Order: sequence, then structure tokens, then C-alpha cells
Amino acid sequence: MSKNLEQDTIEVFINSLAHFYQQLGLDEVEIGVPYLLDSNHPIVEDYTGIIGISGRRKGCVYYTCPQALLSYILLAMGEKDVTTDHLCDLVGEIANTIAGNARQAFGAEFMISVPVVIKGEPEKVSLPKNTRCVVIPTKWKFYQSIIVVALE
Amino acid sequence: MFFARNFGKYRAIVISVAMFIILDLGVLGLNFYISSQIASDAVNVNLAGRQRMLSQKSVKALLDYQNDLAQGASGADAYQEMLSSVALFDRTLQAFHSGGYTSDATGQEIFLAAVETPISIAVVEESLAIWKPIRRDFSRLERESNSGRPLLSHLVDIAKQNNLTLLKLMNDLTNDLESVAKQKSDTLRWIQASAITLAILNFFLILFHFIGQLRSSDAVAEFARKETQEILLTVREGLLLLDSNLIIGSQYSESVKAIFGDRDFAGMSFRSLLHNLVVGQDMTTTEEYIKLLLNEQVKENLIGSLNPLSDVEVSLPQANGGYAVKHLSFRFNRTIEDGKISHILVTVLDITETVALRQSLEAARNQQGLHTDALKKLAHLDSTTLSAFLSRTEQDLHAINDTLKDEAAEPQGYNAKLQNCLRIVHRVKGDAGALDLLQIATAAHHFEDQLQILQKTEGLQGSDFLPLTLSLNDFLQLIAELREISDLLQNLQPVQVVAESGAVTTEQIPLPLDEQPIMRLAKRIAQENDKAISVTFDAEEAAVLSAEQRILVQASVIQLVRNAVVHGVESAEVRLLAGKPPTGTIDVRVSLEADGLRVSVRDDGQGLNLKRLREQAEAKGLYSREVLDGFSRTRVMGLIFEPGFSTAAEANEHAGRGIGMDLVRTNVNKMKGRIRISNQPRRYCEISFLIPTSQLEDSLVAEAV
Amino acid sequence: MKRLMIVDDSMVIRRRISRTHGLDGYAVVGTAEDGINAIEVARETQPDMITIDLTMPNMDGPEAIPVLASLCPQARILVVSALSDKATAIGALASGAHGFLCKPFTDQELRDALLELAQD
Repeated sequence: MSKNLEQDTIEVFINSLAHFYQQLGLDEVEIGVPYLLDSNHPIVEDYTGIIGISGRRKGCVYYTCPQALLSYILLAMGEKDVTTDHLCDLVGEIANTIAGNARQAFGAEFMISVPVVIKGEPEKVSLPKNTRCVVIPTKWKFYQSIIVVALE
Repeated sequence: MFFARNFGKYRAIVISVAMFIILDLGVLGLNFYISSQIASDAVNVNLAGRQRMLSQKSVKALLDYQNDLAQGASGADAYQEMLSSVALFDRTLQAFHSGGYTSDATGQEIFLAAVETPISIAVVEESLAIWKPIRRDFSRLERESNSGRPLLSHLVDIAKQNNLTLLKLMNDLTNDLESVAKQKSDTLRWIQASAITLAILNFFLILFHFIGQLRSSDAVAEFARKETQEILLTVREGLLLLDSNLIIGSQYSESVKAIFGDRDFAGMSFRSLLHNLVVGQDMTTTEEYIKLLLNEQVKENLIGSLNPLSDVEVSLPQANGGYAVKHLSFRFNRTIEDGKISHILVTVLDITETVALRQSLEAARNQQGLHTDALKKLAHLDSTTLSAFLSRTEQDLHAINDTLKDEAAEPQGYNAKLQNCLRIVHRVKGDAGALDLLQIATAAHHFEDQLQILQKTEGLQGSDFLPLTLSLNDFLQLIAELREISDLLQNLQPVQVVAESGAVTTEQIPLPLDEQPIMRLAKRIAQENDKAISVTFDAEEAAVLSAEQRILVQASVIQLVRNAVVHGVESAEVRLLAGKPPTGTIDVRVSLEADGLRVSVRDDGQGLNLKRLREQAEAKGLYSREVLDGFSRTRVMGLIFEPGFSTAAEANEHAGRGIGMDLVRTNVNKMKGRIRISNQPRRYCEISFLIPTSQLEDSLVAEAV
Repeated sequence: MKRLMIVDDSMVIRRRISRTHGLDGYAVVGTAEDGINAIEVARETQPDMITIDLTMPNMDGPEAIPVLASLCPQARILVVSALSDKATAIGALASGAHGFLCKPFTDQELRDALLELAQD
């Protein structure tokens, strides 16, 4: 049947994100129950970092989260300067780290783009058409963010 | 630096050899010294001997001279001989006394050292005392030649008088000098003998000591070599050393041969070893990586994550000429000698099995593709029924997705999610089974499996649901594929069928309470359980049900029939022994009663065994023995509708998960109905439910609107 | 006191490294957001220790590292990057860097890496 969504790939993304939080000492991050999402109706929060994936697998992975959560992460990193620039920078870095680690797991045929950061504006998130994506909800304190994995 | 480091090791041998050389030099020096002493002693002895001869010769010449004169001869020859003998004697004696020159036998001037031993000194002193007056007389004789006859005879008298004494003295001198020379040569011989003895001793010392030491160090080396060899023969990992040019060293483990084939690898380059296995860019990257390890300035601990060969898939030639695909994991470590990187230790592990295990687990997750027999079954189905079923299943699966998506507090929330999903998927399975869509039934069965694994998982977490979510995606994909096929099939159906189905305008087409799927399911389950059954079907009255109710009733009947076949009807043998016909009968009946519509499924099987139900409930930990004892008969029978209760020993697709009857209860509750069980052990069991009239009217009104 | 320079296009990472706890023996003498800037800063500050990302705009890590290595021969260079391509990272090390630390990292990992790097 479909091999579009492989558990390993997604687990790498989940572990990378959990790892990212842990490295910052934010270890109470909860991974929620993953569910499916129609790629024609993407979900985005305030800030979104998108990494394009090409090579053997095509599609993208994005991390999106509310501004408040990003601000908290920045504060947790000891950063007091919570400007839009910083928030964009951070969300891009998170997406980049998640995808970079996936590349480590899947090798050179798994090519990743530089992060594209958008603020709001879901119409700018273009996912592969007519596929279902896997949404992995994550929760830290009471802030929710999601990783969306859309691979053809 | 080299010497300082190695001196310790060779200290003993260096000292021994040095001693040997010093000893030899000493002996040689002494030898030279004493030999020269002996040579001069020999001259002394000779000259002393000559003194003896000269004393006699002088006396004889003196007497001859006297005789010659007496006989009237000139006596010149004797006179000359006398004078030269006396002069030589005198000169030599003086030299013996206080050192000086004399002439030797050949007339050469030689230096004579003064005698040193007390005896010789005394002898020379005494001789001089005697000789001096004689010598004076000879001198006078010489000065007053021809005139001194009386002097001559006086001299002859003195000579005769002292001749023997002087001879004896010279003899003593000779003897003494001889004994000195002998003593010296004895000393020399003694020194030589002891030096040789010492040298020999030293040689043996060196010989024994170092042979022993060499032997023991050889033994240690041999032991170490054996030990290394043993390690290299037995380790599972391929071990080999690379030098800075990436050339393989002479010692490598036996496993290297097992992995790369039976060849001699010593002296081969690492690139040739991996020739055809790791190609192009990867090989270059690998060499670059090893060079990094050889680079002193790069920190070994800080580059481990860059190893390009931590997992490589290779095709290795086999003994039978074929190729085998293997997964190898290479590790590279520095070996340090004298603070410098001397070699790279390469560890090769065959991780094929580990990888294969991982892949087979992955493959097990990927479900099978569409089979042709599945296609045949699809073709046999009425297209309307099929598409209705597929839409509903899709909706069900989306409902499952919504369940997953709903926020829930763990763990209670997660368990509620699972229970909800189980109910939905069980209905899908029932319907699929009824339509004989084995592939969907199997997919649903797998999904149920996964749900139940999660139910048993301690400390369930969100990420544990990932395989489930992915299965759900696969499931949706399967339904989408079936829909495509169904659409194709629909185009192939005769026109009038399309027209017929076109009459049904509601978007969600209800399944009629249809006899055929239920009959088929019952037959199939009976066959699989090795039972013989016949089903009677009387469901005309179901027409009063709303579309939604019909779905609920159909699903419930499927579960009840399934339950009757699996749990109710006995095998033919048991039935015959019980005096029953071998074929079990199941009656499905839908009948209007005064207060509603009754749906019943009755089998003539073994009935419910209350004792077993109690035991089962206790074993499952649903209730304690005390509580169960307090239960009424009806309450005990009601246990079969509780979630998680099942009396079948092993779960299969048809029963035994304890879901089916739970589903019936849920469905009946939805219709606000009541369940009734009439049971007679070993005779029959009838499970029925009543949908109250109020519900029927409501639905009729709803349908009218 | 070791002189540390941080090169990363992410301000967040630059700040994170500079605030790493327990780096008492280090003083951050300069930061740069790309290779070109890094070379300028290195020329001025002559750092003993450099952390550098690989993927950066204008001039990336692999281009900048050999220049930095020749500019500051005394400096130890630590590549700090999400592991995306081993060949690139190995190339970067071969061209003059001394160690590699994979993003994301903990304070402890960064401290250990810098300590390891400082050892002769």
C-alpha cells in the first residue's frame, strides 16, 4: 500500500524536535497523538519555518507555532530581546535542525532547502497537492505547536 | 634520546662488553710492558754471562801474554786481546752498577740499566771492590808497557787469586738476573692466564645471561604474538590496521576474510579492499575521513559523527560465485605510538542481520497491495452497495482521525480514544466481512491489533500512536484505491443498473438489512471454525427502520450472528453426542411487537455457560469473585456486552476480541433500545433487542421531512 | 583567558553559544553572521577559538575555514552545524578545522567540545 509516509522518517522529525527542546532544558515537552491532515488545507500558527525536501523523497516539513511559545523558547535560551526578527530566526533554526537531522538519518539523497520563514499567511504554505500529511502536535507547558510532514 | 631510551634495556650487555674490552686492553698493555721488561732482562742476562766469559778471557790473555814474553815473543796479540777484554768487562760492570752504555756482541752500543735486586747490587758492589784494584793495575801495565815485568807477575798473581771469586760473582749475577727475568715472565704468564680466565668467565656470563634474557623475551613476544593471533582468529569483528598511506598491515583478523573473501590483504590499499563495494564520491569521502583521523590537529572525539561508513550496503562475492548483499559498519580509530598517530585501526562489523530485522519489521508494516481475487470480489458486488460501503468506511476512518486529533488528557483520555477507535473499526470489519471484502477486513483486523497493543502499553504517550496514524493513512489509501476501481466498475455496469441506483438520491446510501452478506459471513465463519450451520432469515419488517437505524441493525446482526457461530453452535461431533442434528441452525428475525421492533438472533447451540462467564470475568480482572457471586443470572449474561470481555480462547477476525458485543450494546443504546437474552444451557441462546416505537416514529417523521 | 569568535547566520545560535554556562575561561571577542564578516572580525580580533556554521549566506563555512585558518594559525576551529552532508563537513575539517559538533547541542556538549579542542 502507500509508502508515502514512513514511520522512520516521521520518528526522526519527532525525535529531532524533542531533542531540540531537551537541549534547551525544556524537557517536559509532550508529543501528542499524530493525525492526518488534508494537504489542501494546511494549518499554520503565527510563525512557520518550512524546509523543502527533494531527492529521493519530495515534499516538505514545516514547524509552526504561536508567537508566545517562540518567545518562551527565546527566554529559555536566555534571550531577552524578543523581536520579530529573532522569532523568525528561531523558527527557521528549529525547522533547519529538524530537517538537518533527518538528512543525517537518510543520507545525501535526502536533500533539504534553506528554511523559509513566514509569519501568519497560510496561503504561502504550499504543500504537495492531494496528499495527506501527518501532523504531530507537540505541547510545552500549555503552548501547542505542530510539525507537519508532507512527503509525496 | 634513542640511547637514553634504550640504555635501560641493554645496560647489562653494554657493561659486560665494556668490561671485556677494558680487560683485554689492560692485559695487552701489561703484556707489552712486561714483554719489554723481559726483553731487557734477557739482554742483562746475556751481558752478565759475557762478564763471566770476559773475566776468564782476560785472565787467559794475561797468562798468554806472560808466556809469550817469557818465551821471547812479542805477545802483542795476547796483550791486545787482554786489553779489549778488560775494557769491555770494566765498562759492562760499571753499567751494571750505575747504568750506562756498553757494546753488545755485535759491537752495537746499548744502554744497560743499573741492577735493582739486592742480590745483584751486592754482587756488583763486591765485584767492583775486587775489580777496581785489578783494573788500576791493568791501567798501569798499559801505561808502562814492556817495562813492568814485576807488575805483570803481580797482576798475574792477583788475577789468579781473584779469578775464581770474580767468576763466581759474575755467575751469581747471571743467576740472579735470570731468576728476575723468570719471575717477571711467570708474573706475565699468571696475569695472562687470569685475564683469559676472566675474559672467558665474562663471555660465559654474557652468553648465559643474555641467552636467558633473549629466550624469555622471545617467549614473551611469542606469547603476545600467539595471543594476538588468537584474538585475530576469534574476534567476530573484522580488524585491520592501516598505515598513513592507507595500506593494510600484515596482521588482520580472520573475520576480514569471512567478510571480504579469502585473500591476502597485507600490503593492499584500503581503496582496493573496498573496490566495487564503496564507489565514487563515497570512497573519496571515506579516504578524506581517514586522512582527517591521521591529521594530528583534528580531534578524534569530535569527528565520530562524520564517519561515512557507519552503515553501508555492499554486494560481496561469495564462495559459490554469487553475490550477497550485506550491511557493513566500519569504525575507525587512531592508534597512538610515542604520542604520534601511527595507524588507523579499522573495525568492520557485519550488521546485515540487524538491518534485515529492521527491514522485515518495516516490511511487515507495509500492507499488501491489491490482489486479483479482491478485484473479482469487487466486480461481483453491486456497485451501489460497494460505493455506499466505501463512502461510509471513509467517513468512519475520518471519524477515527478526528478522534486522534481531539485533545485528550493522558492516560484516561488516550484509553477513551482507543476504545472509540476500536468500536468504529470493528464495525468496519464487520461490514467488510459481510461484503466479503477480505482485504478491508484484514486491514481493519490489523488496525484493531495495533489499537489493542496500544491499550496494553504502559505509560502510553502521544508518539506511540504514530504507527496507528500511518496505518490509518494506508487504510484511507486503500479505500481510495478501491473507490477508483469501484468507479471503473460502475462505468462497466449495464445502463439499467445505473438508472436504478440513480433513483437513490440521498448522499449517504444506506445498506438495506440484507440477507446475503450476513449469510455469506456466517458460512465463511462456520467454515473457518469447522462447523456446519444453516441460517434462516426473516427480516421483512426491517423496512420501518430509518437509513441510519438500518446500518446500526445490520452491523449488530452481523456481530450477533458471528457470536452465535463462534460461541453458540458446537462442532458436528459434539452436537451428535448431544443428540442434536450435526448442522446448527441460526434464526435471524426482525418482527414488529406491540412496543417496538424486535431484532433477534437465535442459535440452537450450547447456550451461555454462566459458570464460565463468571470465571472469565474474574480472570480478566473485570470484577472480584465476591462481586460476581452477588450478580444475578441476567447480570452475569450481561457480561458478554462489556468492553474487553470475550470467552474465545484466541482472538481471530471473527470473534474473541470482546469488541463485537460491546458494539451491539453501543448500537442498541444509540437507538434507545433494550437487550434481552434468553438462554438454556446446552439447548439454545437467543439474543434480541427491541427498538422502541418512539424511535421508529421519530425516524419515520425524520425520513418524511 | 581564551579569545572566542562565533560565526553563525542565526543570531539565536550566536547568542546561545556566547551565553553557554561554564565557559569561564573564554571571552567572546567577536561574532559574525557569514564568512566574509568572519574574516574581517578574525583579522581584527585574532581569536584562539572559532565556532563556525557551515551553511551561511554570502560566504559559507567551507569557503571561510581555510582563510580563517591561515589568518589565525593559532586558532582552533570547531564546526557547529546540523549534520546534513558528511562530505562537506569532512572537507571543512580537512581544510583547517579541528572538530565537529552537531546541532542541536547542550551546554555540556559545547563545553566538552571546546575543552577537547583546547587540549594539545
